[in-house]
Amino acid sequence: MSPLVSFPRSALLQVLFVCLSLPLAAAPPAGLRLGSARVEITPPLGFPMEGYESRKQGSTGVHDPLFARVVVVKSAETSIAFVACDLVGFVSDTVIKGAREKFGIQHVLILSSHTHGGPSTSIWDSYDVAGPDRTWPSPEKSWYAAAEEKLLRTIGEAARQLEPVTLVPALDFVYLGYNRRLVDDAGNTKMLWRNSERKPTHPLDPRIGLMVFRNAGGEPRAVIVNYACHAVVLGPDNLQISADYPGVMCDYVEKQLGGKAICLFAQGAAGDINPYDATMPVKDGAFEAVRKTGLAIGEKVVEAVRQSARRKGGAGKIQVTHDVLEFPHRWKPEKKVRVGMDTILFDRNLAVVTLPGEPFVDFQLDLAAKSEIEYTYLFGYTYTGDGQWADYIPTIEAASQGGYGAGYNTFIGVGAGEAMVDRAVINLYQMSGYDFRQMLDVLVEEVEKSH
Amino acid sequence: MRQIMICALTVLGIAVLPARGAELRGAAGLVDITPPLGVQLGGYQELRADRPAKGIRDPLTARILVLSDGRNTAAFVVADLIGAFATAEMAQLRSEVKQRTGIDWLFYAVTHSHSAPDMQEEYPDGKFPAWEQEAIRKIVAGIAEAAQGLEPVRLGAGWGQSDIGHDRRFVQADGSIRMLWRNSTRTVTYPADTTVGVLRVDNARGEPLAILVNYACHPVVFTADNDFYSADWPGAMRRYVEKNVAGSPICFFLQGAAGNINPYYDKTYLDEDAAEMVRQTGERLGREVVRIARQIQTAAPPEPQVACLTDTQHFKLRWDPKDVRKALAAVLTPDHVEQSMRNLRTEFDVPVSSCVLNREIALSAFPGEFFVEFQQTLRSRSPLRDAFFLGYTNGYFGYFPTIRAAAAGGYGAADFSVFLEPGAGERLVDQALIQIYRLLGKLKDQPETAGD
Repeated sequence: MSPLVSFPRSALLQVLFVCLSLPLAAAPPAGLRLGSARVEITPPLGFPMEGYESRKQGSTGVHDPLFARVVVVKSAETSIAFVACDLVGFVSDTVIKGAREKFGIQHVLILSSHTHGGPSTSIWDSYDVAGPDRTWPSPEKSWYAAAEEKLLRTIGEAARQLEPVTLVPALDFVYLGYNRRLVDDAGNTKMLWRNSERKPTHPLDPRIGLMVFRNAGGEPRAVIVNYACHAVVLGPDNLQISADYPGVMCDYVEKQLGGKAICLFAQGAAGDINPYDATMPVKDGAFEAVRKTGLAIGEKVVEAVRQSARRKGGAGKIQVTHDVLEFPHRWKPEKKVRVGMDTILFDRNLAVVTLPGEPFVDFQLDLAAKSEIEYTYLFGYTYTGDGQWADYIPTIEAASQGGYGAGYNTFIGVGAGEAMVDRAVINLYQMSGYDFRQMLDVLVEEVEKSH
Repeated sequence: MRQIMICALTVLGIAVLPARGAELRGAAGLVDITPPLGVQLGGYQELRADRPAKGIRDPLTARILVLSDGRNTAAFVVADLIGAFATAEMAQLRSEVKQRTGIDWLFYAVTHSHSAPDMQEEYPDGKFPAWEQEAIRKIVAGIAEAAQGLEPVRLGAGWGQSDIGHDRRFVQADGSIRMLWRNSTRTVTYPADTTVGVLRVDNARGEPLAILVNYACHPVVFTADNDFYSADWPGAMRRYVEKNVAGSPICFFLQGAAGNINPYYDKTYLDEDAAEMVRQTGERLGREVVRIARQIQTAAPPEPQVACLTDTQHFKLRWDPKDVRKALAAVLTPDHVEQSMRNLRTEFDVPVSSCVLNREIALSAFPGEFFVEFQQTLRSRSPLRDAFFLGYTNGYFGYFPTIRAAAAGGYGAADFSVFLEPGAGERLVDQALIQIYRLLGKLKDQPETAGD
């Protein structure tokens, strides 16, 4: 570049800088602000556990306490609470409504790690359960109601201590899960409940999708880790309360990042994905396997967070689309199943789509393939209000093949998952500025040109 | 109502049960439905509004294939017309076929020739043109005749590649779309689908009765200066196949998902040797069809079966009616705009149907101009290798772009040639897949007992 050009250019830049900084100083805080908090939600001893039908006994001890970790993110436009629970699944309109009314949080995502080492939350429609048990240990003081209250309080706590942050997405990968449905050429399915020999399976998605929030000093303050793998290293013989491998992962990441960052686990589309060391008997070293599995992903996360330090965050714009969709019941088509899902776009390079149930991994692969947003994550096991828990969400193909999670323990109509992914893709285009209702006069223009 | 009843029956498994000890029987036929001269030709109103037919280059036909397993009978009709009959006439056709022959399952497809008469949902005088009613009468008679001449048949399918068309929505470096209507220099475009599907129907002696060709490409080599009825290049393709496959089969062209696919020689003027381009385009595809057809081995099916399902899905109009009015005003007379606006629907019940033959071959019917990605998706996700995508079949609901295409724009993607909300095509293809699985007995209505 010639010096003749460079002088006016830099002068111009200075003028621009001054112009831009003036309104910035006066306006309400632009960009993202974040607060976090966590609360223990371990149930009392003897509480019924969930995840394995064969396990009838209540918990006899606590191996590691269960937490709900909360990150509240506010932008100029909106606010979101990520509420990540060490639970098998959690549905609560009380929390979502309360957060909106008490703390002005527009969107609440109740994420569950899907640990099978936690209390029963009884939200599974496939098994004809009546809904969350608000009577244990007593109707006046149930664990479920207490947990709802704690989540709400913790959202409030997080919302009160916001600091400016920037958000950087990052990706890494690790092979910790395998596809537990083995389908032969004829479309017959056999379940593979453990795969310690690490026999290759498919489909799989090894991606760890990260959302790294850093404060003005560049220190990580929150990391959200999206990975698709059932939290079932512990099996039905385990009666000790535990967060399973996601708990180990979160503890490790928080510790490695200096104790000032909170780490949330966002379970992905793990409906057909187990950890290699699944349902390990306690006597065979299940808790050691939990630790190894958690560390394997934790180490990748810490490394990816460190590497992301060089990258700059975006302007901090957040857009959220909340959809309530209706599908026929798979077995009683006259009955309708209502599900709520959120599509969230951060700036224009990070998308999060939530589904309230256990989607098969194909859906997160399909979503990532169809989305034009560079980083597109699917959070399964996430309740965002206005609907019900959908249990397993198999693909059309998987539903035809059967197997666990594709047959009797599903109830949402076949094709619902595909429709939800497409809904999210449409939302993402719209939030990126494409207006599907804007009619173009293509033919008219072309004809005019041709005359 | 009829469709709902059929759905209810299939839910009970009645249409899906294999007919034990049955055999597959079939017959093919052809009727000439060329209208009288003087009828307005359709497809290029924007180029030349007044285009009465002055002659016949090649007759317009309706080709008929009836297949029956003794329990279920399906009639496949392919007409050399630009679009479906009006909704009321489609219902009339179905009911007359049912009344005259007892056939429940009618797959009525058109080739989408733009050298065929203009067709409207409603006509100013409130009556349907005599030629349409005459065509319906002939088609019903043709089906009845075929249904009376059923003989044991065997099927075989084969696949190949032919390159006669391109994606006319040409993606530019910045992601925007430029329409590349004609592409005589054959610039490579994406996506296009060169796949040719062939279904051969033989009599018991192994002699071909019918060759069904499934390929996606607009029949628009002739353009607005052509005043003669013609089947365009599919006609040339069929003539070539009928001449070069032993026996005397009737060749059918099943138009695929051609919503974004044009022939390389799009809208060729007569002075540019349009007739020769029609021949070359058709014969290029025809040569591959002949190669495939000769290689197909047909055999008596182990499980002779004709199994069909139909569903409707509900969609909304994509547009604000105010914008529709504006778009119409740019191309129509004020009277015509008012008439179209009176008929503007904002909700649509769109049929999608599938037929699985001998538990081996699937034909799924889609009522409109689907983008080619949809036939690729259907084929790649189908549990059956032989999955045929029948576009322009059982009615007309405009263009069906993919979600991605609907965002990117271009003709058939973001203008008033599209009626339905984005995602409609994706839902219908998913539903067709569900139908195929159901017809194979792989999606049950009740859960099997809990396993482990």
